[in-house]
Amino acid sequence: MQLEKLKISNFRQFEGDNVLEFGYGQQNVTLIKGTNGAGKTGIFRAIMFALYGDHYLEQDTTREDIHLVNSKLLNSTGLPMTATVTLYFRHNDVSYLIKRSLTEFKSDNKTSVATEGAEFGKFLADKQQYQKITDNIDQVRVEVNNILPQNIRKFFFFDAEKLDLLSGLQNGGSVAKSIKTGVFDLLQLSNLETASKVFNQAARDQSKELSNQLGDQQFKELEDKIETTNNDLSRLREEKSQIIDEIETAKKEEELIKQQIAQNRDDRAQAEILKNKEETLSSERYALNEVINEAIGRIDDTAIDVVLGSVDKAGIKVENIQNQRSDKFAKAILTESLNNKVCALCGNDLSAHPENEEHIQVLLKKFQVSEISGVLNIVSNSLMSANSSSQGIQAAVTRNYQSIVNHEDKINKLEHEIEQIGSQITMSQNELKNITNKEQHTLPNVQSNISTMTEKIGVKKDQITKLENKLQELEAQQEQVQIKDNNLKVKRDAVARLKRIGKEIDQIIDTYSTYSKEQLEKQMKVIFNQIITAEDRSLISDIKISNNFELSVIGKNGMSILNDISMGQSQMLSLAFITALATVASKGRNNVDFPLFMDTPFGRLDVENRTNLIKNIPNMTSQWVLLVTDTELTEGTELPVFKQENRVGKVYSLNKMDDGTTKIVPEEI
Amino acid sequence: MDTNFLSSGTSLIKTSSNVEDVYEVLSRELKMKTHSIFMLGFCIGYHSGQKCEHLELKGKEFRSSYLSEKQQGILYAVGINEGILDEDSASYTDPQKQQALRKLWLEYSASGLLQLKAKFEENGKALGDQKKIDLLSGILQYFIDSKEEIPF
Repeated sequence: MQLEKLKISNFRQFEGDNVLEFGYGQQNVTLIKGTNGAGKTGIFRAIMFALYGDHYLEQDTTREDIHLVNSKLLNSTGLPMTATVTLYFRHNDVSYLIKRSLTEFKSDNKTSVATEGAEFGKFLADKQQYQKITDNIDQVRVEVNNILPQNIRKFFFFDAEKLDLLSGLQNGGSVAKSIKTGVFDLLQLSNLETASKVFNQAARDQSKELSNQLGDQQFKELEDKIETTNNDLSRLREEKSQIIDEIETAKKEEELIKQQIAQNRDDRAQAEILKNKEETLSSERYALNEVINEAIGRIDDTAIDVVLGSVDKAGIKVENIQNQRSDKFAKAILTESLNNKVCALCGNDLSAHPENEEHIQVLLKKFQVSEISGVLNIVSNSLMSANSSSQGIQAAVTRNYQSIVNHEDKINKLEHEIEQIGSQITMSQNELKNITNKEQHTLPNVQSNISTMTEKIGVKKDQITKLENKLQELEAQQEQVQIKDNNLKVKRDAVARLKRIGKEIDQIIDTYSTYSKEQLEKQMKVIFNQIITAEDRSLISDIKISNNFELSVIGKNGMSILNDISMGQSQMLSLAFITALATVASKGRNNVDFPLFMDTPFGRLDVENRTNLIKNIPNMTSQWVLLVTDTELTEGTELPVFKQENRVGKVYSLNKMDDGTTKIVPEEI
Repeated sequence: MDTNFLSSGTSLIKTSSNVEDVYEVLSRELKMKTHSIFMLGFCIGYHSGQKCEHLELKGKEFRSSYLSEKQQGILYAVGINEGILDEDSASYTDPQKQQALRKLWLEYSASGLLQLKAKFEENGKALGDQKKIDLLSGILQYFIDSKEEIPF
């Protein structure tokens, strides 16, 4: 399919007639430039409206009313107005025209659709003569679908910023199904499957008819058995196919879990180290606390030890006082003797013997010492105790201090290490727990399921083989019965031939499907490496496409990386897939040659990827139509590459006018 | 009159309010009793030979009987050392002498606690911000340093 010309009349912001032609051949690139709101998406919308009658694009996020008729005209005239889009294109060397129109009117500030029309036709004799094929909307749809089936259009007409083929090709969901159906259609696998069904059904119908004509009871019984066996076989094959699908889904889940485990292995190892460090920290803190308590309990004695050297003299004084102690007499005797001037013990006259009186006074003084003996004992005991424990206390203080310093150093170091390790762990505690739970519970369950299902597949295979053998036997018996009646030889041969063709088609499907899958993998890798930056080239070590045509992108670590790649890388992979698919599908036929129509093609891409696309895409597709903003087509980056490559055939600028309308103006590159 | 006046059940010692912050932080962080803090300050002050003569006796107070016999012995020893107490029992019972001795103890204790506060704050943190480990390390460090002083 080659786009030739688009004619737009009063469509969206395009007032009056606007025409643009598309580049082809060696100049197969068409650039349509426009600022935001100038109508780039309007062009995309016009193409989709022309081809499929779409009022909405997939990228429209809301279902607010989108009016296709130019609103300025509709508002100013107050009359019903008609928007028309005509697309001229070539397909299989024939030029076609598809024209759609839509009439809207405004009433009570509400815009409504009045009529909608479509026409499809072709040009004969080198475009001199036009022949209308149909103007029936449904028929037009059929015609267009024959050329570019609706379910594969998203591969060729898309908004690059919202291109989401990869997640669709990964697994599950309606998006996945529609994309896979598209792939099957494009590769013509669906046609082959239909052919298989048709031939096998025809063989069964013919066989039944033959049976009726024979009128043989034994033959009829055989026919019934064959039909039952065939039904059983179909059921078993369907069950087997379902189990295979389930195994594939389970394997994907297994891979995803393994991938998550692998990705978080570092985090989990770090978390384990963190846990050990935290335990050591806790022990260190406990040990430090013990030392602290021991040291605090010794502060009283240690303080005394400090002052000990300064009170030594007091010890000597106390000793002297204690040595002078004498308490042989009652104090009253000494006092009475001195008061009466007569010794109370011997009657000696102290007035006559002053030397004796002096002696009694000395005795009285010594006696006073005994009153303070308790205090003196306290002092001497304190000093003795402090002196005897001094050495031990000093050693303990030094030991405690060293121990505190050591524990503190260790604690500081551990806290620092814990902080560092903690900052390296990207997952939360809950996520880590979740992964551990998946590793310990979910993964074994999934693996056990896979194993159980694999066993089931084995059982199904055995049952299928048995039924196939039984079927062969029944068919052989039936053939023997048929041979008896030579009159029905032609019919019998026809049945045999139909059966043989059905089987051969099944084999072709199998071989071609495997071949296409391998080719697609190979081609996608080649193309991806051509268009991706050198830096990202090593990102992908392999691309795998399952029997079910589901896509896996394998990274350097052997794990799927589809969920880890950037939006830009995803866009490049999608483009690689689309171009690879077109290349594989076009082998042996030339009608899979669709234009690549991209809205906002470079929005997500860096300079190197943009350059690679500009250099490579024109060689990979028949036409490349780009709807670009000014930031995607700069004098410094993209334009020089386009000029150097010399593949641009047409350039248009969408000029916004003061009245809100847009004019399509041709430009030179 | 009892010569062992420190053991008298009613005898109260009122500490100086200019070191109340030291009492509070040591009590809060190290769970030290008031009399232990008093003795810690006294030992450091007496060892250093420095007194703090500006006392304002409105701070923490404790019964002197809470002091252990060993602590009491040291306080009496200082009294004997300084000549306030002697072999005369009257020196132990004389209220004036007891008062003079209490003042001496309080002056040394306040001085010691002020020195300790300065030691604590060497790490750049204000006293109120000091944690258990800082305070204990400061005290132990002081003890070790005091034993390593070069005699002259």
